Amino acid sequence: MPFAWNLPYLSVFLTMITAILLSVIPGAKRAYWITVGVSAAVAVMSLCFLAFIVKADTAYAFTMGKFPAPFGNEIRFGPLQGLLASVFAAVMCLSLLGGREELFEDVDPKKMGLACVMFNMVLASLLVLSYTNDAFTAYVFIEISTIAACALVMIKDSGPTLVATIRYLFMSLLGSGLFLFSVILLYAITGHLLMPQLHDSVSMLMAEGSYTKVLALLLGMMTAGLGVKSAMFPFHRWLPDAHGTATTTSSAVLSGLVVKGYAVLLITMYCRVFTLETVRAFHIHDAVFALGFCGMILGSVMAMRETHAKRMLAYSSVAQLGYVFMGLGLGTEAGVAAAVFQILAHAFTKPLLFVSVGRLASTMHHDKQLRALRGSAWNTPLAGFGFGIGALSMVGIPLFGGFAAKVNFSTASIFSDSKIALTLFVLALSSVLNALYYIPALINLWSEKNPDATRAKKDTTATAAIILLALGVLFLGVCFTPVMNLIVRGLALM
Amino acid sequence: MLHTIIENRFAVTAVILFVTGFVNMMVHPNLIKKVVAFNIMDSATFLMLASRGMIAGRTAAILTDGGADVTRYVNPIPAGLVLTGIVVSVSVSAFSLALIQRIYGAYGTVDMRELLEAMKKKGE
Amino acid sequence: MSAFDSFTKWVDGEKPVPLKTEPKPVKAKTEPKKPAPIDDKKRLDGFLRLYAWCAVVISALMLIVLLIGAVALPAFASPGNPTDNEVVRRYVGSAEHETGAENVIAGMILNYRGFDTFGESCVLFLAVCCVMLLLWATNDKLRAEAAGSGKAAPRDAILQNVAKLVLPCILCFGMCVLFNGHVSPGGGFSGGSILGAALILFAVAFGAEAVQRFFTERVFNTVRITGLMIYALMFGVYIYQGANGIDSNLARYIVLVIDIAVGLVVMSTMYGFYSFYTKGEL
Repeated sequence: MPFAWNLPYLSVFLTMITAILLSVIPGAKRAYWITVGVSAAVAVMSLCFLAFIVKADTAYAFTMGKFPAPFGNEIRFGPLQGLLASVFAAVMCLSLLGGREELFEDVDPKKMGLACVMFNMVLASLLVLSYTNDAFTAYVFIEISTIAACALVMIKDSGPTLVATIRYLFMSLLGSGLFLFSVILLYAITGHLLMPQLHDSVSMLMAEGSYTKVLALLLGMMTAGLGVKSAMFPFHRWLPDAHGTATTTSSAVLSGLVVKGYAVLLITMYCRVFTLETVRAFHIHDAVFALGFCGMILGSVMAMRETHAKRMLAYSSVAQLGYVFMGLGLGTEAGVAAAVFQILAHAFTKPLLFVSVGRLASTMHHDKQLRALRGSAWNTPLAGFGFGIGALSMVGIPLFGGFAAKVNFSTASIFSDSKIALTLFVLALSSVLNALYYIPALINLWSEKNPDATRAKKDTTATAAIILLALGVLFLGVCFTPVMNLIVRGLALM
Repeated sequence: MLHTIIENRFAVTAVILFVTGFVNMMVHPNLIKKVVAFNIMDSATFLMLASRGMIAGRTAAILTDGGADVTRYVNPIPAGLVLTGIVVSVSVSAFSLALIQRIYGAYGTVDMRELLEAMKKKGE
Repeated sequence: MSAFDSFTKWVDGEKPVPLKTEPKPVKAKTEPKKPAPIDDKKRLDGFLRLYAWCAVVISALMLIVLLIGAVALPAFASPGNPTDNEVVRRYVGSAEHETGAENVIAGMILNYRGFDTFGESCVLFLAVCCVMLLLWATNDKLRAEAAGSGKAAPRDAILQNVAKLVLPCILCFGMCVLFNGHVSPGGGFSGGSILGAALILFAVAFGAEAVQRFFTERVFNTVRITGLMIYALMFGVYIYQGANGIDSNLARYIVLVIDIAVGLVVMSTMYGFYSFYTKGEL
């Protein structure tokens, strides 16, 4: 076995061991830079690994210990997992860099090490959620991700963040409770926890037609549980408070990455365990489509009513996650591929927007009301441009990632039998709705200069982060065909 | 009907407890009670899981004969999973109670509705 | 106000409702508006009542659906149910030979499915970190809050005398459970929590200062981190060897060592919870 196959497991252990050690390493700055370094290292490792696995054009099941599949834990990776892991780690690193100043202002220096533990653990859980080949490992890491993500909200220690955290925590617990219950039902009727064996048993049960009621029930529960955690439409109410009140880096990580981890797990479950035919047989995909549809429209409508820049971005995340669920709801390979592309595009765009808003607000005494941000783009033109690129990508202007995602969704809708008209309609409507709040915000930022603004402090790391995130958005918008091919290949090798 | 219910009595009890926890967690305004409800929900899950491992007439999976006769012992997997689940629920309870303690310190209440009012009053 | 003015205002993010052109003159018939707070409260009440009803209806539906599912499950305790399969037979049949543990459950969670259990220990570790993030009194405000919440109870002679008698027994029992986890019921998690309970009893009976003589913050951190690191490194090496097909005997020792490591983690975690809750520091 080539050494490169060890890289995913090594990257997971690297982040977890760093997290453990960081809780005792003194010094706020040191902890922060170690975290940045580790996430950069993981990004590099994952990229190397991606290059290897694309060249080998295969997927590999890696036993976590001595005992193979039905007995021991396992992780499994192919091109898709490599791609997701590299993007997750890279965006984590860039979000940390982008929100550095605000992070140091918001977090008690003595508790910085503990905050960095949470960032590392979030990264580790994201990696495991995309790599895992075991339903129960998925549950354990969902819990790690829940606790660490809630802690990311409350590291900015103020009243509103504490309340937002507890609401987030309770909703997440409902979600993981549902997920655990569905895993247990699955175990009860199949007797397995490892995904390859689950797949065999589920297809056997489907062929026999036994336990179909239980299967339908647990599929619904699993979808609902993961949906609650990734802010699927009727369960989205926790998201704006949590993402809107947290410090910039946390908002970027939560909106850009954490909610995606659960969506990726749902995709893995659908493709690797249940197969899309089963999902279609129980019409789960129709429900997911309908909820995604509502999320896309209502998320945007609520974002329009917001006057607080970060809450507006948070509601926009609800709408963007609606796209992901709509893609899953198409119930075809193409739809799932488009959903994965949307996950990547949004993973770059939303942190870019959050980091830009954080930079802009730093010139206005950290007031993040849109009113207060009027004209602030002139103080830090780069952040203004960053916001512009993010906003245009969200609206769906060609050359940006969001446009490519929308193209993929419309192409994918052609392969679905009955949902073409609805998909195209909601894509058009949601683009218009997105434009209705992003364009005014953009005009607002670039309108005449506010006299009592302070000049922005020089912040090289934030500059670098904004440039790199913007480049990511542009890359996804321009070279989307190779990325899409990679995703399709990865899904086939799932 | 009654026969199948009795056959699956643990699953039925677990489901009823799960929904009890679920509904209380959703509607109860008191944060502490929400934590209790969450624990009820988790216990229901553990009951469900543990009952899956039982096989009539067998004993706990502590080997006394070196595993020569595999039909002497019950299924060890659910027990291990329950252990994991319990640890997770202890951790989460500790976290949420600490959070509630701080919220009480900041706003002087653990009632979600009063909390929202207090926040509005403070202009947050 | 002209349409353009309202447009600029909307762009500025002033009004919650966008693109509202000139408001129509208020009809004379309508009563004067009630003061806003009462209105708000009413709306909140209405919303909460609606929310409660929705929740009840949803839960009732959920209960029915779940009951249908539960009844359709394989019957309880029947020997032929799907969970009684080759995985179970392998675990029971080869655990002693492959992992050196007579307690199949310990062998399973610490060897076959050891990565899950590592994740689980990390959940505990994260919980302590979160409690520290929240309650660790690093500034005066937090210290005042902590002092208010956990007043030291007066020393109690009965408690102290009973503790003197009971503590050695608890400690012995905890050690026994911890060290025999691989051959009998027990193991790291149960043994660790018994030892943690002993520490808490000691702190309650003789005061936190007494514990601080040997269990300082430094010791707390060392024990916690050493335990987890032993687990992480040992299991990391084990995974590397297992996945790359390197032959070794590590699998036979891993259960006992990791059990003890987990026990240390759990013990310090339990005491950590208690200590941070009562006084905001160790």
